[in-house]
Amino acid sequence: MANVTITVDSNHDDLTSRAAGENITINSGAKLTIDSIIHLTPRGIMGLITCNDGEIHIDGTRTFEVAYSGGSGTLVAVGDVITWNGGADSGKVIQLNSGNNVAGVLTLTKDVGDTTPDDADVITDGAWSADIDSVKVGYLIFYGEDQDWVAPDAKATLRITGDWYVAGVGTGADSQSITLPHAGHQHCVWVETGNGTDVYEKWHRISSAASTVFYDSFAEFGTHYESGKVFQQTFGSSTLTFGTSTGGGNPPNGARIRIPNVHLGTTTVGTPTTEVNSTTIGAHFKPIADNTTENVFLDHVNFSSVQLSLIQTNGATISDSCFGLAVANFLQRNNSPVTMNNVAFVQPSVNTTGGLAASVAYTITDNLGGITLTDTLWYGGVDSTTAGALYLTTMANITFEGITKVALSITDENTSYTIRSTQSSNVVFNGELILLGGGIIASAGSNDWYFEYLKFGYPPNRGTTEQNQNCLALTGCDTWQMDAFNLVNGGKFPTLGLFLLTDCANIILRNAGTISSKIDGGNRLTYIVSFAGITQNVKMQRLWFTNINGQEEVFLGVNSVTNILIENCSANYNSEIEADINNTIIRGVHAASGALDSTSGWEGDNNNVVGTVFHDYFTSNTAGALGLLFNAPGNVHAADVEITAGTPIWNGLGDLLMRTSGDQVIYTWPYLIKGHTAFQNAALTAAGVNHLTNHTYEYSIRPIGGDWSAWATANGANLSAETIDPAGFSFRLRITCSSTSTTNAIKNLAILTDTTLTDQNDNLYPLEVVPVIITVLDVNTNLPVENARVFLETSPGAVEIFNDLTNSSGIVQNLEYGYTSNTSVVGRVRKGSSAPYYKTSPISGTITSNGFEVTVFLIPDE
Amino acid sequence: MPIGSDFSVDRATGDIRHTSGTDNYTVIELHRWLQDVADDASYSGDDELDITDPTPSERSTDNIITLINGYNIDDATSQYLYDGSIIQDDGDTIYDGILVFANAGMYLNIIQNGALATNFWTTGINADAANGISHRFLLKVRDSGTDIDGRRIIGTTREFGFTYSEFKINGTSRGNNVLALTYASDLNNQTASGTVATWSDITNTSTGYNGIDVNNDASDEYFYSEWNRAARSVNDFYERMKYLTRRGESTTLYGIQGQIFRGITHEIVIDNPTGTFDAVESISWTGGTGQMLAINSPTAGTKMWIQLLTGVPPTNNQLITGGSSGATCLVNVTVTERTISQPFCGVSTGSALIGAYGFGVESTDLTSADKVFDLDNTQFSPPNFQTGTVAGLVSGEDYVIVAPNDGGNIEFDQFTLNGALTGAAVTSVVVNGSIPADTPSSGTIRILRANGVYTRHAYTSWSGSTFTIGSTDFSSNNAANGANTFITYIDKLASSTSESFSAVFTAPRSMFIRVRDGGVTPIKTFETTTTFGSGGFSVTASRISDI
Repeated sequence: MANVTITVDSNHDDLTSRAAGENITINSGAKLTIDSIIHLTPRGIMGLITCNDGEIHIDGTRTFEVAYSGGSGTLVAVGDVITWNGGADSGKVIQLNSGNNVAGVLTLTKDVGDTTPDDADVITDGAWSADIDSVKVGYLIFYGEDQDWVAPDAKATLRITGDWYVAGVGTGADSQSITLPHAGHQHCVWVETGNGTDVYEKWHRISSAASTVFYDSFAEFGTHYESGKVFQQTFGSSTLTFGTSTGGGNPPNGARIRIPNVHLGTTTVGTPTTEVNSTTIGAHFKPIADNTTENVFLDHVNFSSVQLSLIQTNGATISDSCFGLAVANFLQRNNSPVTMNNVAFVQPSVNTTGGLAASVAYTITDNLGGITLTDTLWYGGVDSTTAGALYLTTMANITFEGITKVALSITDENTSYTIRSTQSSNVVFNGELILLGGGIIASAGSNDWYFEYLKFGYPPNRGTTEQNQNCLALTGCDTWQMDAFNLVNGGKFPTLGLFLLTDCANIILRNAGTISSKIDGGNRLTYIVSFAGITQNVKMQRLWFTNINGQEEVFLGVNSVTNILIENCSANYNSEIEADINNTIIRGVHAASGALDSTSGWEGDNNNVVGTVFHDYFTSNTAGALGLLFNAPGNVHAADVEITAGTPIWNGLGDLLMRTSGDQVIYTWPYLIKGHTAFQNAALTAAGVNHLTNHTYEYSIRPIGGDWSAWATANGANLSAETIDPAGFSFRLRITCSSTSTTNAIKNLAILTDTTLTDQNDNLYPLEVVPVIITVLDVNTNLPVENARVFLETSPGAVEIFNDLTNSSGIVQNLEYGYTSNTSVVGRVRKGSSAPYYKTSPISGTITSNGFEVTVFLIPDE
Repeated sequence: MPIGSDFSVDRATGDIRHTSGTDNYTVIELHRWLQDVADDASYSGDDELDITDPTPSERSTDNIITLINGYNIDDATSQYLYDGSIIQDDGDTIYDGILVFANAGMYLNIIQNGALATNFWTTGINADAANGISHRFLLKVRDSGTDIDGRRIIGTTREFGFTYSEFKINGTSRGNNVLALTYASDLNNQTASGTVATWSDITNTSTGYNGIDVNNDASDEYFYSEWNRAARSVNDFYERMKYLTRRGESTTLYGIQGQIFRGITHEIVIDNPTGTFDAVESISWTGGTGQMLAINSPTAGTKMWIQLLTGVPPTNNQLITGGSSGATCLVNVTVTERTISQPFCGVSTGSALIGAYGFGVESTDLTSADKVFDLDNTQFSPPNFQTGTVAGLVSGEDYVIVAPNDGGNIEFDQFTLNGALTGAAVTSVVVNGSIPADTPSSGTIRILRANGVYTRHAYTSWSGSTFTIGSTDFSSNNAANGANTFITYIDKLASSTSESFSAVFTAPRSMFIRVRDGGVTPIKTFETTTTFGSGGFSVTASRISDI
């Protein structure tokens, strides 16, 4: 017997000169087809395959498992040719699964013909025949030695193709067990969501014995896909056991349980049917050697005790498969497209009685080519701070589609994250990303991340030890966007917070729950977002939470943080808002129902905070307020806070000091205030010294498309008589010192309003805002035209955007136009009410993601 | 009132309508108002216009406003606007501004498309007396995409007792279109209208082409009328003509209402006539209509004279068709526009008529002071016949001679013969020089004969240098070449107490008069000189007995 070299297409069964463990070399573009269970043939397990030029094809697509009865004659043997369909179709026996010549089960590979055997056929080899009772997809096992197959370049192709093998049917009972057609490691099974739904979920394996490191109990998992649905299987055993209706989940009654029908494992010549369960990575068969450039196509395969390496392949396409062991940095330097669809990666875990060795996290690195991963599941973890279940490092351009689930396997809840990232950019999670048991930790260089729908949480019976977990713990990251968020079904939150942003920039977090269905913090979360370091340009939008732990400060920040927008978010109504953040707008939030400057209201002692001035908020389902913090307005509010008389000053401690009679400041809210239905018949509230006695407060309102009302005293009678539109109105407050005093100080201010949740919900602040600016100039002089009427509306749709007069700079603008998609707009500019008159000038264009800015030149009309 | 109080805007239809009030507004005020409300955030009341609506109007100038995007006014609303044009319906409808310079109080009519336009301006609207403006208003000149008679209009004033005038606009332009009209008291038209109304004895005895020998030259001149002023003075006649064409006169002249009758506007050379034209009838051609006032031959005409009613005059080879006769002809190259007069008859000096083009009056109703212009536009007047009379005569006794004076004696050498008269039957006497125009058409001359006697010869006519006399024998007592010859204006034995002659006065002529009676009751010879002037002369002889 000897190693074999093929140069023409060959079926492995025909390479009769090769013995178990011997090698094959493929040259000249030859294809080696393996469609038998080779260790059951005289050829034995595979040694090394060197594919210099050609293809290795392990083909499970023609494998059928046949149950027969009524047989007579001498039972066929493995390798025998048998026929059915009256002899028109034929195949070869690749395994005698059970039984005898009268009744039993065998597995065959169809070779000739196009008719699959069915229960109306008789199967025979001439000497033996039997009636076929049933036929299903058969199971094809391929064992190899501890070899790294060789494929030096892209002339080599590894192709594994298969089908779904139904391993059992759910009973709906707790702790159901099924028998697998192998005794290696089944990393994942696909369980139908119900009898006949034909919709499958990936259930993954968990450790199956007591462990102090890994979760090994069904009770440590939930029963929903997002929080559980797992099984246990001990290496070396063909028994697979599901959990219960309270932990881990149990397959529904009648639900099919299926697995990929091609099974790869590592054995030895000496014990060719016993898979190697080594504690060292290097002791496993690795059909895709590191640093090859071969072409990889994997379909319906379970890499049982086989290492996966996709390092520098010439592209890989993987579907309906599951994997366990992986080499370090298993997906690396693939600069050709890698696509995966419906794939599970279930990391082995240290188990004293049956698990595979602990390995590294599934690490994707050094990839610049496009990677698209659809409906993938990642389960694992490394007890260190350098990796998670999935580790992305020094890479770019990866897109996750469908439902991506990343679950942490280890019990160290404080330091382990489901996903860890360093220097990884352009990471897109379209569809759902489920983070179970840990969040994402990312460090500098991890930029341009997107989550369409992020779900996060702990299984219900966990989370007792964690203290430091966040859903997102980002440091030095830039441009992250989360478009939706929820707690994993059946899960719970950590006890610290959700989003920790340190030295980050351009972060958008939005859409958690709804105003009428807030996400229950379980009295665990102590903050929703915490800003630290030099963090800037963060938007928190529509993050609706309730039942936050106590009256904590739900939006934490320090004055090294700037440009923060918190809108339409909620904590507990009595949560304190501590806005020690620069240049921050907080609007439409549910919080701070307590008194000003109290621990359940707005913190007033802001130190050296600049540009955080305006806010509006809701203190119950029916009440709200417009408020001011008297921090220095800074450049961002230079136009919004106007000193109109005297020398008012801000003392850097959140106080407005107007100590000379006549000092006057006008505060104009720089945005359209939404969600408030009326002003309460209540006095304006404020804190400070002589804040009410030595000052007068007047207000002016401008409805959408209207003009500013005359100044009126800001008392309950006047305010409550105003009609305001919850769709929005502009508001300004004029504060005048009426009595000179060296102790005058105003700290914090609120004007109470009414509201309803419906009105709020119908009038949320837009998620994406872009500037829409119309500048109107005289065509002859290029000078601004003041008091020209600018009208702008969408077309089609006729949704009004502007109906306003230009200011002294000739400008009408909305710096916060709600952008959802490119929108065509039309409009016009007119000035016909007073001289100088101008001809109407049209406006036409498109509001893009960059906004819409146009200069309109008016032609005199006189 | 602000314009907004008087107007409304319907945003659904674009209708801009006058709803109340009596104030009128300029078109720029309308535009300003529209723009004013159009830049409002939202509309109120019945002014349904704000920034959300399309632009209602555009201004080209303060006097040219275009309503756009379906906005429009109607005719009734247009009556409350002035000082410019309103263009709407994408230019399919145009109201142009009319601005009239005239004295205050002038009653204006507009002839448009051959008829009077609806008159809402009468004696004044939106006047600006300080600037001599009597009317300002809008007139629709284009409707449904078609110009109304090419936007041609004629402004007229025909107020009895005042001067008549008209002003023609051959196609209005956008903005204000000026009509300048004379309107002043007509001193020759001071008779009460009611009085003149009774002067129905003044008639047009002949309509259409007819000949009148105005200048008494035995050759007719041709006119399109022949008015008989009966016993009325020429000024009465003038007033009657004004009466017949005054404002409000619907009685027709030549088939046209008097108030829009204007007289001949065009003389057209024609050829290829077919059929028989009526003397007067309506005519038409592609691009216009008119009223034919005369044709020089109903069947073989070569010229016709018309009043243009609508459109433009016909051009060469255009077919002209008679409206009632059906006769046709072609234009033969030449169409001459004729100046019309206001009133149509011409001008009265109070005692004489200066007739309009083609306007004819019976010759007997004319005096030498009258001037008429025939259809060739040639002026004609009757001759100035004056009479020289010698009175105080005794019939049958006194012999009277009136001859040209030469220093208190007869100017014997008034002429000299151009050629001796020697024949036995001479009928022509040729003199040197021209026979003066004030020579009576028939009369007597005297010729110095060889025997030294100035013989008397009656002539029946004269022309140039030749007198025509009855056949006379000069063979035995001939007259030499260069012999003296003179006219004797009267040269006879008185047959009544006075004798006279008639001649056309052209210039004063000194006359020598001698009266003798040497009969039974002789008188001393009466001699005197006088001048045949513009009034002729009348001399009474002093008969002093010579017994």
